[in-house]
Amino acid sequence: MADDSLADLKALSLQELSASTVSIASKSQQPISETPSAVFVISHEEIRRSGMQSIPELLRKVPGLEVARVDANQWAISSRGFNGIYANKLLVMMDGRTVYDPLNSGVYWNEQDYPLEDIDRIEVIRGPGATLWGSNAVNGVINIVTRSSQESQGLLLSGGTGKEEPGFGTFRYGGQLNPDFHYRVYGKYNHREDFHFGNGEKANDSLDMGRAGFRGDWAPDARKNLIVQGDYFNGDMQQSLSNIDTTMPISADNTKKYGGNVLLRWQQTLDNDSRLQIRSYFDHAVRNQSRLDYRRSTFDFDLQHNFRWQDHNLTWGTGYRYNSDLLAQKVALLHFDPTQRDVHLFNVFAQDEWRFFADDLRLIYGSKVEHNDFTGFEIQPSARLLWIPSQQHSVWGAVSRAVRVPARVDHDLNVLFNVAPDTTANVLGDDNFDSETAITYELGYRFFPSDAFNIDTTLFYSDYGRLSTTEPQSPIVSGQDTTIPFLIANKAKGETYGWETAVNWRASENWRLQGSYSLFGIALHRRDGSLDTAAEVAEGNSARNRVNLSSYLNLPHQLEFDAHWYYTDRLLNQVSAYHRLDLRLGWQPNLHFELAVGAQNLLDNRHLEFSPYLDNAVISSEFERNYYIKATVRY
Amino acid sequence: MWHRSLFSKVVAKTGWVYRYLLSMLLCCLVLVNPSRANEQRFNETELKAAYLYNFAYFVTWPETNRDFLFCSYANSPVTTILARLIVGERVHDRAIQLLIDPVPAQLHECHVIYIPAQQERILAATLEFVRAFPVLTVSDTADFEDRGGMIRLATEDMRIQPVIRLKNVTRSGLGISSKLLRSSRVIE
Repeated sequence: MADDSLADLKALSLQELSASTVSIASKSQQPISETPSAVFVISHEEIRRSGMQSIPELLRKVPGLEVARVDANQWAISSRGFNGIYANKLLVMMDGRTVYDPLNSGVYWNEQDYPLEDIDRIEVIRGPGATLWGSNAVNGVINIVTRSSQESQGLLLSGGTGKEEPGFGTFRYGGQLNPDFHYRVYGKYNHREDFHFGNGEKANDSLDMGRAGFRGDWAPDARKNLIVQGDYFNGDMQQSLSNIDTTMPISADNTKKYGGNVLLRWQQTLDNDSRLQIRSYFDHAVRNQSRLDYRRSTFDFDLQHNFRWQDHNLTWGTGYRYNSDLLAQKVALLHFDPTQRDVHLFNVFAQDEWRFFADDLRLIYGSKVEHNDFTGFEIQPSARLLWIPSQQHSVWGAVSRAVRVPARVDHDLNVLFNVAPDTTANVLGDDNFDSETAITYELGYRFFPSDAFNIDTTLFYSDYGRLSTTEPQSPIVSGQDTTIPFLIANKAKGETYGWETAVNWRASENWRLQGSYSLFGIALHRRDGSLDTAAEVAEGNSARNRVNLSSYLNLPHQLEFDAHWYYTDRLLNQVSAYHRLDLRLGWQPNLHFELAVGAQNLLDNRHLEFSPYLDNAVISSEFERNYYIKATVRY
Repeated sequence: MWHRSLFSKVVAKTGWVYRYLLSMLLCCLVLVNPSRANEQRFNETELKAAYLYNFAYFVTWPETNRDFLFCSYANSPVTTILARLIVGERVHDRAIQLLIDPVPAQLHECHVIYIPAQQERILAATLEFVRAFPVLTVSDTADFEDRGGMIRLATEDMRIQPVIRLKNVTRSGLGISSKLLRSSRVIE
C-alpha cells in the first residue's frame, strides 16, 4: 500500500469509514439471509472442531447432502438423491476448479484433499446452480474455498495417528516476498488402513497418498488481485472388486494415481465499479488400474463481469473447456470406443438481480447457454424471488432447469459381463444418449429472531426427465454362445421431494449447538418401452430421514469438548439405519500448540453405509470405530 | 520468527515535525481535491485496520500512564496495515505500541486486542484471560459479540460496520464516545 493512500486511510473520519465500500467483491460474502437458495457453509472453526481428517467426511453435517463411506478410501456423496460412487448430479469445485471427472461425471473423492487448516470454508448450495455454474450443478454445488496466502503465514506442522489412519501429517509454510505478494507451500501425507467386510474378513481398501502444492497472492492495490496456485498428488489406492466375469472370485485391485493442476485467477474492480474476473486452469490426472489405464487433461478458461445499472445487479460471463483423454484397454472384457477423445464445451450466461421496494423484494433471473459435443446446445434458466419483510425473516422461492450432460461412459463404454454359462451381457454406450434434465421448484424460509439463534428451512420438488437406463436389445446367437447387447438410453423419469431444516443456536458464550433434519422422497418410473429392470435402483440409495446434531463447548483451561451425532435412516439397497457419535477433546494452552484426542463412531463396532449396486464393481466394507490423537504446532 | 524482526514493537517517535507536516499535507489534499477520500476505494483489510486505529481515539480507558498498546496476531493481514498506520502516532499524548502475538501473561496490558477470524481457535481463551481487565476486544469472527466480545467488525452490504455489544464494554469500565456509537450498530 502506497504511503499517500495510507495517509488517506488514516484521515478517514468515522462517518467516512462507515460509508466506504469494500473494493473486491469476492471477499464480501452475501449474508445467508439474503441468498435466494438453499445454502449451507461449513466454517473454518467447524472444520477444525469436527475431528475429521478428510474433505468428504466434513460434508456429513450438511443438511440435504448424502454422505456415505463405501470403503476405507471411497465415498458416495450426492445432494438430494441419485447417490452412488460416481454420483453425477453434483458439481464440486476447489477454488473454482471443477473436480468432477468427465469420464463418468463423478468425483474421485480420495483425490480431493488439502491441508484442512488452510481451507477457509466449504460452501454448499443444494438444488440447481446451473444458471451460474453450468452442467452437473443439477442437485447441488460444493465449493471448497482455501485461505489466502496472507491468512496462512508462518509455519504449521500437524500430525497424528489413529486406529484407521495410523499416520497422517501436514506441513505448511507461508511467507512474504514483498508487501504485495504472499505465498505458501504445503505437503500432506496420509495412510488409511483396510476396513473389514461384514463377515469380518479384511477388505483390501487401504490408501497411501501424498500431495504438495503452493499458492501465491499478489495484490498490487485494493482493486486488483492475482492468485496462482497449484497442487500435485501421487498415491496408491486399493479396492475390492467383484469380477466382471461373475463366475470368478473377488479381486483385489491396486490403482496408481497421480495428477496435478495449476490455476490462475485475476480479479479487478474497474473504473465504473464493475468487477471483472478471469480464471483459467489446467488439470491433469492419471489412474492406472488393473482393468483400465486412464489419463485426462483439461484446460478451462472462464470470464465473468459484474456491474450495477439502476436497480439491477447484472452478471454475465463466458467460458470454454477443452478435455482430452486416453483410455487404454487392459482386459479383454472392458474397453472404450474410441479410446481417445477430445471434447469442447462452450458457454455464455447472464443473470440479473433486480431490486424493488427499497430492496425488500428481489428478483434474480437468468440463463446459461452451453454447447457440448454430444448434445449440442443446452439451456439452463432459473428465476428466483426473495422477500425480506423484516430483519428477522426472509422468504424465497425458485424455479430452475438444469441438465446433466452425457459423460464419456454414456457414449463410449463397451463392457462384457458373463451372466450365465454361455451367456454374455454387452453394455454399450450410445451416441444418441441425451442429457438428463431436471426442473426444480424450491421454497425457503429463514427466521433470525436474534443473532444467537436462526433456523433455515427449504422445501423442494424436482421433476426429472430422460434419466439414464440400460435397455436390452435382441440377443445375438452364434453357435453355443448368446450375447445380449444392452444400450444406454434415456428411458426413465422421476420425481424427488424433500424438507431440509438447519438450526444454529449459541446457547451461551461458551456453548454452541447446531442441528439439521432432512426428509427425502424419490419415485422413479420407466417410460413406455423401457425394459431396464434396474432403472429404479437409485430409489434405494437415499435415506428417507437424516438428523445431525453438533455441540461445541468451551471449557476452562483452554479445553474444548465437541460432540457430533449423525443418524441416517436405512437404505432400501440393503443398508440398515445407523447412528454415529463422534467426540473430541481439544486443548490449546497457547497460540502455538494444539492437541486433540477423539473417538469416532463410538457407539458402534462397525456399520455399512453404502452398497453399490450394478453401477459399480466396488465391494463396500464397513466403517469402524476409530480413535485418534492429533497435534498441531504453529509458528 | 520473521514477523517479530519486521515490526515486533513499533514504538512511536516524538516526531512533532512529522505530524505537523502530515497534517499540513492532509489539509492541502482535502482543499485541492475534496472528493479524494470518497473516490479512494480501500479493501476489507485496510478498512478494518482503520477502524482499529480509530478506536484508540473514540474509546476511553481508566487512567494510566503507560504507552498505548495495540495487540494483534501475526497471520492476519489487518495487523500489517495497522502496524503501518500507527507509525509516528500518539493517543492523548501517549506513544502507541503494537504487540504481535501476545502471550497470555501480556494480554491484560493491551488497550485493544484484535482477534482476527483466522485466530478463531484461541478466541475463547483470549476472552477468558482479559475478562477482568479494561481491554477492548475486537474481532471479525462471525458471532463474536455473542461469545463475550465487545466490537465485531462486520462486513455488510460491501461496507465494514462495527457491531458493539454495549453490555460487554461497560462491564469492563471502558467508555465509548457517542460519535462511535452513532456510526455503529449497537446491541442492548
